[in-house]
Amino acid sequence: MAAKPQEKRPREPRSFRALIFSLLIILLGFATIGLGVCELYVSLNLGDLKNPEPWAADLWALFANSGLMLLPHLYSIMDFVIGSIFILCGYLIFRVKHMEFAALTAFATGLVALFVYGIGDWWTYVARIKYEGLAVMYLRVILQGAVPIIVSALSLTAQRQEAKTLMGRRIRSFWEDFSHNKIGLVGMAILFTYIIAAVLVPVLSLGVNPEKTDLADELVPPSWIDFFYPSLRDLPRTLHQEYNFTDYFVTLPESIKNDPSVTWSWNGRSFEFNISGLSYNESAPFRISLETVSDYYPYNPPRGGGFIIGFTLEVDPHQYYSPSEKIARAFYNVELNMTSPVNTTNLWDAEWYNKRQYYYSQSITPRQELMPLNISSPDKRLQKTKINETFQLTSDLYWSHKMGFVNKDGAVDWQSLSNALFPQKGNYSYQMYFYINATATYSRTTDTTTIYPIYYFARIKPIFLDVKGMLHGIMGTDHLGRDIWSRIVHGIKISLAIGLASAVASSFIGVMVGVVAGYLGGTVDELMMRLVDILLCLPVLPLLIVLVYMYGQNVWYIVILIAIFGWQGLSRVIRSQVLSLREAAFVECATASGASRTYIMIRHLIPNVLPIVLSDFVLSVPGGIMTEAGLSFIGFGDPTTPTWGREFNIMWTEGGAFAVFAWWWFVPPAIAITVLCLAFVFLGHAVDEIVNPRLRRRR
Amino acid sequence: MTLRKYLAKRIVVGIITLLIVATLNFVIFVLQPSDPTRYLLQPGMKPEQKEMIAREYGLRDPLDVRYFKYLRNMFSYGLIPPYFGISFKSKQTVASEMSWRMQLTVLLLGSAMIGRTIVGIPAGIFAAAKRGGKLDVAIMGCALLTFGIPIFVLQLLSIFFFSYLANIYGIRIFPTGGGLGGPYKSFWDFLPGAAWHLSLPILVLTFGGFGGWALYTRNMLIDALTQDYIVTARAKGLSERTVLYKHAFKSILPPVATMITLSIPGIVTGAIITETIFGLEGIGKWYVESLSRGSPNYPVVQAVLFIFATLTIMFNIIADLLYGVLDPRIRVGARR
Repeated sequence: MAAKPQEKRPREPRSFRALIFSLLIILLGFATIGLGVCELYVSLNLGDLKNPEPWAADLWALFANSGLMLLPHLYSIMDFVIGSIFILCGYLIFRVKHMEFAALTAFATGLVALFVYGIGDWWTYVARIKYEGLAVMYLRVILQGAVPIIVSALSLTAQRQEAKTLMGRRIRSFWEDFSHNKIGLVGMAILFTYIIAAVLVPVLSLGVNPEKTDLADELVPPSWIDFFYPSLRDLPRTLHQEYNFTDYFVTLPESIKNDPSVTWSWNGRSFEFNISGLSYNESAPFRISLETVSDYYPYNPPRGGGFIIGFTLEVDPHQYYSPSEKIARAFYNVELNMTSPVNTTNLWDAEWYNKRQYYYSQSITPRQELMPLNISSPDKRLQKTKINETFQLTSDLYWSHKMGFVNKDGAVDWQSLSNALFPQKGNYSYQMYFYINATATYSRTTDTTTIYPIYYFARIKPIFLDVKGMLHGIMGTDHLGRDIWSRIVHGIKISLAIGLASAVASSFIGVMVGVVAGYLGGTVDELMMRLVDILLCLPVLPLLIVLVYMYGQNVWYIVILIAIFGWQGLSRVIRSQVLSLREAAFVECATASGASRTYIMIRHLIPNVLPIVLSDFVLSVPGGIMTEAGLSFIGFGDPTTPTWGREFNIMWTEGGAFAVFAWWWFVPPAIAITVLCLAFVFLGHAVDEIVNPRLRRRR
Repeated sequence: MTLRKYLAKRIVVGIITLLIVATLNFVIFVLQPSDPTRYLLQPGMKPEQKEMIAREYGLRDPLDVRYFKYLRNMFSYGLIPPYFGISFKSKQTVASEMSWRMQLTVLLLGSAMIGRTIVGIPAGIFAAAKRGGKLDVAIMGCALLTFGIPIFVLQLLSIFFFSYLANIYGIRIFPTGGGLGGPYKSFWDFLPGAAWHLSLPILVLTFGGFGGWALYTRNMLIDALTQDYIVTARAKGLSERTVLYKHAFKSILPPVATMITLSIPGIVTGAIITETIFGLEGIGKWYVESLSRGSPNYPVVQAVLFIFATLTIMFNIIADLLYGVLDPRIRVGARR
């Protein structure tokens, strides 16, 4: 890299500030590595797949099967690498060796970490591992991104007094010009808003998974629309209501009324019932009646199929036989009633299970597999000793038959079903009856009946009502019932990442080629400029389409392609600039004092062309964003990433947003992408006016 | 370097670029790990049949023979057999299918170019003449919109509001897309239908893109209006109109013409998105459709990509040439 100085400079005295900074960076490095160790420990021991989303499990299996076993531990590995870099840099600063280089490296590493974790971690959303919460992510952003950047920048400025004044003067004069440029300030404000939004994506999206379907009905407008259309005020919203139990009544058979082995408790959320070692053999069941609170349902009946009434049971009948201890079997049954302002409906009773089997045997596919409530059912598949299930009463076919809402064709009359269940706004409550039948064990061989003790445990959680709204959230839903707001918000990150990454890459290539070609000249120059000529003459969009089509639809691949086709203009400008800089006195001085060509290029030429690079960089960000959006729109984007372009593609090809005039789906991404691109255009014009001498003169 | 020599150099580079694109095309589709015939053959075919089809398409030739055949095919521009090869989908020659699609694309893009020129250049002139006025500000806004809004978003917006929304309220000004398929008997045969179907895309392409041109013209013109010879012309007592058109505008004609020519390739490749959105059977939509998943219709893709590359290179060279032709200073300087 940098050429060696002519004579060895006397070692600088170690300044107190540099010492502090070096220690801080070392500390950060160790903290980062500690985080990595924790992460590795957790991912190795607890397993990452404790409770994965299905798609995460698929991805995991893909990694594991493709031999990329390291990838699941990518975070730990990155922690180790980044931590080591910090420690090394801190050590170098501590020993007053290559201080500038070390501080710059730490700075760059911090930037990369900030980019990956703060803005670019969109992909981690897909494979997001459950155990690691948001807090760890923010810890990373702070520990590996923000703090190192600040510390190394401070250390850098503390080190280079003379450089500081020079750069400081430049930056100050730039800022002076910039702060008078209204358009530029507006652009900067918008950009900062977007960056903050990108970092706060998990908060802004209200924790809604952008890929989760069926959150509400399909293609429903946002819920604030009733402000403009009061007639829509009564439409059902997306709702999750829980009905806690307020009252319970346990009826035990007379003979065991005061038996201490039967206990129950109510802790405010769940009702627990426990039998430990009761000897009992009568036909009379134990009966538990539970009454929920009466809660106000403020909307019209939900659309048929758009609601779920459910309850969660946790039952452990101890149905095992150990040689030492014989235990009796106990069966349970559940009955559920719903009291509406008009009447009381029986939603579920013990008889239904068998009838339901009949409908299923008619090869009717149920919408939702209901677990049988009788654990001793003849169906072996459904025999369970322990149950921790949420029973969901959706409006499935059997249920509708039972309720009598079937029209002549045998199809469900959804609307009258939900109209019957939710006849009007008002207070709704539920009553649940839980029965336990204990039977004696009958021995076939000896033809005797033996009474064994009963062990039984049941926990009943609150009854809930889920309504899929016909008005939903901030931006409504798309054709699969996904939350549009969450999808748009997640697009901020990925769009920023795409634009910035492609601009960084293309600027880097452009600067390198321009400086090298301009400074070296001769054959190198000729070759590089012919390459530029050729690349400038290529039809970019069709080529991108064909390359993406053939070699993979991956966001980063697209970014690389955009960068490859995007540097030629910059390199031409830089080359011409370097051609004149080459003859400048300071370059000649450096050459005369024996500086190497690499040294001159890095220390003299590149800093002098940086202003041009800056303006080109800012202006090429919206280009990258738009190219990616265009590619995604015509269906050649990454099909796994929620980008805005893909959003347009979905609504155009399959969503049918236009036919139903779903402006809530169409307008937000259009505004989002336009405002983001405009921000960069504003910024770019402002920077261009400042750094471009030709424009400046005219102003 | 004389102009002629420079031009010759550009043409050589252009041909090399074309060769590179063509080779890339060949490499992408033919040298893939998989056999291209798999798109062609049905699963139930007998081996002899497969062999026959493969021979018919020249897939059993040695690679170098295929490459040169392919190059000859491409560089003949479909004028001699095999007319760009045979489309897998329609079993007709690509050239014959391309011809009627080309008509639509040319009509669309040509009209859009003319529209942009007619609207953009005068707007720029007026803005420069009345600097700081309302028109100036409006053009600045339009230009920023051009740079800031992806063209497909603008097109979707327009189709959304002018076609779908208008249709909801019973106003059928513009079609919601499609309805212009099939080969046409003659150009005059398809013109009436095309006029209706192309009206909205042409309008959007015109008004969505003229801002940049107007801004460029305005900036160049303002630059020119500060020159000394303009002051001289005004001092002579020439009317402002004469100064503006005869002196200032004439001097910026070369860069403006270059700008227009250089923007043509971008507009041509932009036809891919425009035609997809408006459902127009031009070569852009054809290109995307031929790349449908699983079975690329690669003779079509190769031909269209080659045409795109040719147009891009051609207009790049023409832009250089135009600058020399229109600007006597360069012409004279080159001769010296």
